[in-house]
Amino acid sequence: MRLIWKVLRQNISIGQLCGFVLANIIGLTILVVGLQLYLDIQPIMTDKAGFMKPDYMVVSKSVSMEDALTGVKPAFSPAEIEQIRQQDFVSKIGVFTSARYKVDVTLELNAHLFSTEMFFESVEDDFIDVNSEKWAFSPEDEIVPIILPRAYLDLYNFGYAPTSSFPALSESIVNEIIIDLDLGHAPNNLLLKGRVVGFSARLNTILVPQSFMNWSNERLAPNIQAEESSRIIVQVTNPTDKRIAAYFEAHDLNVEGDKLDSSKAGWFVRLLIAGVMLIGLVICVLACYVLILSIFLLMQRNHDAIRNLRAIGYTVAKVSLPYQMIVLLTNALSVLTAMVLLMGVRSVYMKYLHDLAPEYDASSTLFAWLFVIGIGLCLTAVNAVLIRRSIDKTH
Amino acid sequence: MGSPHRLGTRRRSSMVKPIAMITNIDILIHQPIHFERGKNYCVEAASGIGKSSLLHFIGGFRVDYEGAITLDGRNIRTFSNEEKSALYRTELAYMFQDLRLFPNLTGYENVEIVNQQTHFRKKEYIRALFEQLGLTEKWDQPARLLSWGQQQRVAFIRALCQPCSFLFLDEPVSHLDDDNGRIMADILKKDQAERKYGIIATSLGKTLPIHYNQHIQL
Repeated sequence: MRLIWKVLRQNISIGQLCGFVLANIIGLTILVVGLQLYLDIQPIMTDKAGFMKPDYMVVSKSVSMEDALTGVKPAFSPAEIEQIRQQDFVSKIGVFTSARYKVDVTLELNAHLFSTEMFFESVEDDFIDVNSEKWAFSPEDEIVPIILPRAYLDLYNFGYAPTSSFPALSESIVNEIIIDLDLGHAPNNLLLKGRVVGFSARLNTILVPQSFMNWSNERLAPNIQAEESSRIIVQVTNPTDKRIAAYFEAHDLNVEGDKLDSSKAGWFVRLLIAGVMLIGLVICVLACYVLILSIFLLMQRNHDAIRNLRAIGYTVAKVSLPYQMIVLLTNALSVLTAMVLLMGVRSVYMKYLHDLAPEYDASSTLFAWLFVIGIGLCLTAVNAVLIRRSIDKTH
Repeated sequence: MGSPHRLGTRRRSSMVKPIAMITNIDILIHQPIHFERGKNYCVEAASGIGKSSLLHFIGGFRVDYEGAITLDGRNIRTFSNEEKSALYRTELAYMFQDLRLFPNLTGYENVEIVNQQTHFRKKEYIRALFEQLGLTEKWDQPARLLSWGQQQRVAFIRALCQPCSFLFLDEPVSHLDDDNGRIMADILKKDQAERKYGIIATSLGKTLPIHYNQHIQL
């Protein structure tokens, strides 16, 4: 082997080999970092780390000019609700129930009486993001628990109170305020007391328990038919699923807030990583193309030596071996360097991931390692076959 | 490969049709030729007629001819590359006209690169051949620094360090003086007596001084 190597190592261009190794390292590193980044981000995107949870989206129909003029309320038919329920990305669906009676509330604050007409809605408890033991109602109770949107409190504290010389209110103070409720029309109206038991960041409506809603609608509006729901709440398994935004947009449905953003962002992140990996793969393939061209050039320069080795009985396999070893060693060097660089780059971006999601447990790098080793072996195998074929044709 | 080994060129259809030829009428062989192990053949022709081509055809290095060349009854064209490699290692030893030494290997390494495949010869034997052929000083010198005559002798030693049934010598003494030619012939006679291989040599006029069983004129 020593003598064959001595014969065949002539005309090896160290510069060309270094160029290949450098390009291959860059390509493999981009490829494997892209893959590892995807694997590391995946648990966060699918919320094994608590950043993007299975999320709730409040969905409503768009109000068209025609609806506004004709007074038609845009509502979901049972068939439409069922169709949404059938979507793969939906794990649970909740329908809002509206009060079918008039609601007047009065409350006293700082010796001022506030009175306003408003509305109640209810939804299944599973969809409510307030845990309170007071969130229950039975007809014997005198107090009706109410949940307000957190935005209302903020609106009061930072909008209304400063300009009206009213004090800012904490959640605990609001929870102590007793509200007088006048429900329905006299003489069949109901006078009850209400109390705010919590504030919801998820639901932008005034909520009462479903049990109270059923009871009060039955009591105050027994002959009025329940209207179809104009809003529904959907729990999705993976908020980054790009099909969510696509479905709602295709059916002209509105989603409250910026919930769809994570769907679009998740899709965009995946697209970005796929693009980066593709660039890495292209660089790798080009690098290997450069390597095989270099090896072919080397074999061309050593054509006479190869022909003479064949003429004295050296097999194609033995003559190919030194060139295949060059490919193997340069690829191994590239793969090892890419693995080291992967660990370096990963240690940098993992700090940011931990800042983003403190509970996040780092995923394994084993798959990325196996992947890059596999790529290295594939490229080596392809080159080895091409070298063997070329030498086989040398007479 | 059975013994006795026979190399043959065969006609394919009739006596008139040439059995082996280069298309541009370089070589025409109308009669079958059988090469037998243990016998010596001298292929003679003027320069450019096709002596080297014939040796290359027989070994399967070239296939641009019509007709058939068989080795123990099997057409050389049907040998795979692997089988040919085995042939060149253990059955057919060549001293090419262009010598085919490796310029960056020393005189000894050029021999050893053949010998290491089969470990047929001991280093002492190779050194003794170098001494007999006046190449002692060239043992460690790269082949590119040797004269053509010195390279010819190294190529001859290399061919002897290979087990074979046939030894092909393409103008082996073209650049040697008569003394070195005689030494080479003596070595060859002694070696052939031990190993019983056949010799197919070509000559442009200056012939390796050994006994030939047949002279083939092209």
